Amino acid sequence: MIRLLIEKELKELFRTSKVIWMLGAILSLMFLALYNGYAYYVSHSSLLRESQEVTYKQFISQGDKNPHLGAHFGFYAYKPTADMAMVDNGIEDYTGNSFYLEPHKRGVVKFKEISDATGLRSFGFLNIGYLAQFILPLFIFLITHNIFSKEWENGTIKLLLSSKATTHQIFAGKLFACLLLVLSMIVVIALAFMVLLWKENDQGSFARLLPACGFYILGLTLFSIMITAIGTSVSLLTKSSTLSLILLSGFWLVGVFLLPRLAGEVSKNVYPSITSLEFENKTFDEKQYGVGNEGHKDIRREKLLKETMAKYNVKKIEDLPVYFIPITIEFFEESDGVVMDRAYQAVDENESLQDHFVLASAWLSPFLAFRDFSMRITATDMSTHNDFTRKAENHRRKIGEIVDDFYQKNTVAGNDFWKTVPQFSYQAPGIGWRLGNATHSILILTGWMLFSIGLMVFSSRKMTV
Amino acid sequence: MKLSVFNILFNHEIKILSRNKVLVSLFSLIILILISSLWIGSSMLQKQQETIGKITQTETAMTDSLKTRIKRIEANQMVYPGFIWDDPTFAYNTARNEGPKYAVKKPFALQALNVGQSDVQPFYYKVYINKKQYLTYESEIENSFLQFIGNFDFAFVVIYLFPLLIIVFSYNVLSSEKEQGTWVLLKTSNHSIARMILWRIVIRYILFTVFFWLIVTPFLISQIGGSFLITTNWAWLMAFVSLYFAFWFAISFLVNSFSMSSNVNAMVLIFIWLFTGIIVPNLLQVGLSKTYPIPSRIDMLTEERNAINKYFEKDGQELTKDVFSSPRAMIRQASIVTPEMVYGYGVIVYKSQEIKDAATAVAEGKLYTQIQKQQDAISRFQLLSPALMMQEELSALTGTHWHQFNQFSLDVDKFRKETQQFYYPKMAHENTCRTFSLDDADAIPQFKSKDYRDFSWTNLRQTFFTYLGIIAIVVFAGYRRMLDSTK
Amino acid sequence: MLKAENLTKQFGTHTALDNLNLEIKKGDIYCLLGSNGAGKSTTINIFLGFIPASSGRALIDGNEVTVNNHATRDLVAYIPEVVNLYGTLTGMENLEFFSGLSGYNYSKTELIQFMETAGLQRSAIDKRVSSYSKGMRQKVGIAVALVKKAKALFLDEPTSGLDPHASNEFSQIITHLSEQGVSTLMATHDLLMAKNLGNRIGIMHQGSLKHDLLSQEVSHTDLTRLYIDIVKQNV
Repeated sequence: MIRLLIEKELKELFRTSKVIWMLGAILSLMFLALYNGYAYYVSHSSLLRESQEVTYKQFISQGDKNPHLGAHFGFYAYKPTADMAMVDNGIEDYTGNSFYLEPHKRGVVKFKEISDATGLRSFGFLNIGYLAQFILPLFIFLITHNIFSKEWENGTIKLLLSSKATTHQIFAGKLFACLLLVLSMIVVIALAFMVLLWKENDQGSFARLLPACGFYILGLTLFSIMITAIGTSVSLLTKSSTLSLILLSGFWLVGVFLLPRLAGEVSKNVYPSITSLEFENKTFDEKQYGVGNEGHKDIRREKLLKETMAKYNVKKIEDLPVYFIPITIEFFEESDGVVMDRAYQAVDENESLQDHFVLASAWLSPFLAFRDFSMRITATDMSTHNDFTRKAENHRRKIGEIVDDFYQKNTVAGNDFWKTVPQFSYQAPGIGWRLGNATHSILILTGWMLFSIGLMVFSSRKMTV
Repeated sequence: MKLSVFNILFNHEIKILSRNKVLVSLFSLIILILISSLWIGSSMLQKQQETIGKITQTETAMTDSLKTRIKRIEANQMVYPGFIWDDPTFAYNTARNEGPKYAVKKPFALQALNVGQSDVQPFYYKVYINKKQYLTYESEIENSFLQFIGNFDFAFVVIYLFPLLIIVFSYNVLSSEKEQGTWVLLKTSNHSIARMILWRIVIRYILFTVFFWLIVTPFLISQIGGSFLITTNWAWLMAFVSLYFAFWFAISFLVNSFSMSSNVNAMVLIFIWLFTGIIVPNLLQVGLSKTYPIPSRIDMLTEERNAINKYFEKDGQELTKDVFSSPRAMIRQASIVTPEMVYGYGVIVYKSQEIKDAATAVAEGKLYTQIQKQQDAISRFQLLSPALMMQEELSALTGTHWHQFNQFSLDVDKFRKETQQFYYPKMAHENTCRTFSLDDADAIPQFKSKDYRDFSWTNLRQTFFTYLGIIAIVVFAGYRRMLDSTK
Repeated sequence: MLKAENLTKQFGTHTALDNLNLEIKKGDIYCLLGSNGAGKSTTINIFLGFIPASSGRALIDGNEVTVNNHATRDLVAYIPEVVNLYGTLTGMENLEFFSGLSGYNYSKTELIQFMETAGLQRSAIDKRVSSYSKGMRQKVGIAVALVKKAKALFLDEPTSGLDPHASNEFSQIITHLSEQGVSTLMATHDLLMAKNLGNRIGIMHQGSLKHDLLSQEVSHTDLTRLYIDIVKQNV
C-alpha cells in the first residue's frame, strides 16, 4: 500500500517540470560544492604542510647567531587544514592559521584569510557543509511544501481518504517519497565524499577518519529527515501551498540567517568584548607594574639578581658562573606568561559565553544547531582552534626553555643547536572529543527531532476533508 | 481620467493591503527588524568612536610619560635609574616603547548602515618601525565564530530580507485575481488589465519605499545625528536602495505576467532570490578564486624569512659579529646589557627590517594586485547579482569597502616609512647611542586620520543607470506579456 | 444496506443534520433532493466517514461508520460533483493507483475493461488527466468505483455540468450497477433525473427528511410541487 503511495508521489514529482529543474540545479550545485571543497582542501593542506616544513628548515639552518636573536627569528606553527575541511571548512578562514613561536611573546594566531577576501566572502563559501546547512533545507521545503496541500487544492483528498489507505499510510507514503528523493542525494554526497577522502589519505588516516565521517553522514541524514518531516507536516497543517511556502521559507530565512545573526549581535552586547587597545594597555601595565604587590619590573629584576647571586654565592654580577640575561628572560617569560595567559583566558571565556548564547538560540533554529554539529565533527570549530593554540603556545614555551638553558652557557648558537629544537606538529583530537564538544548541539537537534515527530503526529490527526 | 483611475486603484490597494493581516503583521515585524539593525549598527559606530577616544587618551598619556622621563634624565646628567631597555634616550627603545603612534581610520557616520569589511579589517593600527602592520597587526579582538555567522546590519536587512518581503507583497498581484475569480469582473471593466496591474505594482512600490524612508531617516538621525543628510553618500545610498526595491517589484511584475498560479509565482521568485543572491555570488567566488588566486600571507612570510637567512649568511653575520663582539659591547659576558648592545640591536633590527621590507614588497604587491583583480571582476559581473551589486555599492557609500580599507592600509604603510625615516638615523648614530631628545619627542610623525568616505573610484552612475535600464526592460517585457495574455 | 439512525450533526450552534432516519436496501437508488445547505452532503460525508456524527448512528451493511473505519470504507465508493484526479498522471495511472489503494491488484487488461465499462474511450486512457473534460473525469471516477466492487455508492451532484448525452450514459451505468445489487445514495438538484433514475426519493430541508417517496408513486409535476413547497418554508 505504502509502496503504491510512494510510487504515485514520485510519478507526480517527476512529472512536474519545476521539480526536475530544481533537482537539476541542486545536483549541479552539489557537484560544484564537492569540487570547490575538494580544491580548497587540497590547496590549503599542501600549502600548510609545506610551509611547516619550510619554516622549520629556515629555523634550523639560520647559522651562527646569538641564541636569543636566533630564537627571535623563531619559526611558525601552522594549523594544518582540518582533515574533513573538504566537507565543511567551518571557521577556518576566520581564525587564521599561523602561530609565531618566538620568545617572550605570547603567540597569537594570525592571517585570517577572510581579511584578504573580497566582499564575495560574506555570501558564504560553497562546499558540502554550506549546501547542507543553507540550500538543502530550502530545497527540501520547496519539494515538500505542497506535497499535502495539493491534494486539497486539486480536490483529490476526498477520493484518497475514501480509499482503503489509512491516514498514517498516506502520511508515510508522502514522507517516504520525499525522503527517497532527499536521501538519494545524501547517498551521492556521502559516496563522493568517501571517494575523495580515500584519494587524499593513506589507509591509516582514512581508517582514523571513518568514525567522524560516519557520524557526519548520520547527522546529515537525520537532519534531512527532520526537515522533510517538518515540511510535510506544515503542508498538511496549512492545506494551502502558498501559505505553507511562505511559512516554510520564512522559517528557513529566520533560522538560517536572521536568528543566528541577531543572536550574535545580542551576545556582543550581553558579553561585550574587550577592545585590543584595552587589552594591550592592561597587559602592559600588569607586566610593567606587576600584579598586586609584585612591584615594578625593575624591582623584580633587582630581587632576581640578588637571589641569583646568593644562589651562586657571589657578590658581583660579573662573577656569576652563568649568564644573567637568559635567567631574566626565563624569569619574565614566566611572570609575563601568567599575565598573558590570564588575559587570553578572559578573552576566550568571554567568547565562549558569546558562542553559548548564540548556540542557545538554536533551540529556535535547527539549521544553526546542525551548523554547529557539522563544525564540531569536522573539527573546524572554535574548540579545535583553541586546542591548537594551547598546544602551539606550549611548544613555544618549550622552545624558550631550551634556548634559555643553552644561552646561560653559550653566546653563540649554531645549526647543531638549532636542530635540537623540535618541530611542531598538530593533529586534531579524535571522534570522542569531537562528539563531546557537540553534545549541546546534539541535544538541541534531538529536541528538534522530537518536535518534528510531535508535529507529524499532530498534523496527521488533521487529515480530514 | 487617468488620475481618477489612479485614485481608485490607490484607495483599493490601501484597503487590500491594510486588511491583509498576514501582510500587516509581516510588515510590522520587518520594520522592527529594520529598526533593530539600525540600532545595532549605530551602537557599533558608537563603540568605535569610544575606542578612538581612548586611543587619543592613550597617545597623550604616552607622549606625556615619554617627555617627563626624558626631562628627568636630562635633569639628572643623563643617568637613567631603571632598566636599560626602557631608557627613552635610546631611539630604538622609544621606537619600541612609547614612540609608536596610532593610525586611525575615522569612522564615517553612515557606517552604522553597513559593517562591510569593518569587522575583518582593523580601523586602527599601532605603527611600529619594525613590524609590517599586515604581517603582525592584531585587528580588533573579534570572536571568529561571530564573524563567521555574519553581521546583522541595515545592509543585510535591505539586501536579503526586503526582497522576500517585496515578493510576499506582490507575488500574486495578478494570479490572486484569477484565483478569486475577480479576474472576469476586471476583464469586463473598460480599462486595460495590463495597465491596471502595472499601476497597482507601481502604487505598491511607492507606498513601500516612501514608508521605508519615513521610518529609516528619522530613526537614523536620532541615533547618529543629522550631519550625514547633506553628504552625497546619503543621496546615492537612498537612490540605490530605492532602485533595488524597484528591481524586485519589476521582477515580480514580470513573473506575474506569465499568468501562472500564485504558488508557482512565489516559488519562481524565491528561486530568483536564491539564485541571484546566494548562488551567483558563490559561483563567482569559485570562478574568481580559480582565475585570480589570492596568495596566502604565509608565502610572504616565507620569502621574508628566506631573505633574512640569506642576509645572515654574510653581511648580517658580519654586522652581528661587529656589534656583539666589539670590545665596547662587552657582549662576551652576557650578563649585563650595555648601551652598545642596545644600539647594536637597534642597528640589526633596522638593517633586517630593510631587508624584510624589500623581500616582501613583491609578494605584497602580488597579493593586493590579485585582490584588486577580483574586485575589478566583481564590478564587471555585478549585473548578474543585484544583491552583490548592492553590497558593493553600499560598502563604497558607507566607507567600509575593501578598497577604502586598502587605501587606509596603504596610507598607514606610507606613514610607517615616514616613521622609519624618523627613527633610523637616530638609531644609527654610532657615536653617542643615546640620541633621543625632548625635541624629538615632539617631532615624532603623526598620522593624518581620514574617514575614507570617498567613492569616486567606483562608477556609481554607470551601475545605477544600467540597473535602471534593466528595470525598464523588465517592466516593458512584463507589460507586453501581460497585454498578450489578457487579451 | 445503508441505515441512518437518529443521525444528527452540529457545526457549532448550527444544526446541519437533525435526527435523520433513513434506510436504503440492496439495489436501491435513493435520490436526495433539497436546496443548498439542506444536509445532503453532510449525510454523505458521515456515511463516508469523513466527518463524525454528533449523535445517532450510520450503518453500512450492519457495520457502524466511524471516522477512518476501514471495515465500512471497503464497502463504499464515492463520486463527487467534480471528480478531481492527479493531473500529471494518466487516467490509467490514476485508476491503477486508486484500485491499488483499495487493495486490488488488477491486470492491465482488467483495468482497461473497467474503463470501458465506465465509458471512457480506449484512446483517452493513456493521456494525462489534465487534458480530460469533466465528463471524462467523471468516467474515471466511475471506473474507480467499479474497481472497488463497492456495495454502496455515494454520488454528490454527479451530473451537474455534464451534457445530456454524458448524463444519459452515466444514468445507464448507475442502473446497471443497481441491477447487480449496489445500493446508491445520490444527492442532486435535478428533479427529472431523480424521478427517472431513482427508485426512491427523499426531500430534505434544514437537516431533516421531509418526504420519503417511491418514485413510481409520484409524478414529475407532483414532485416539483412538493419540492417547491418545502423549499418555500421559512424562506
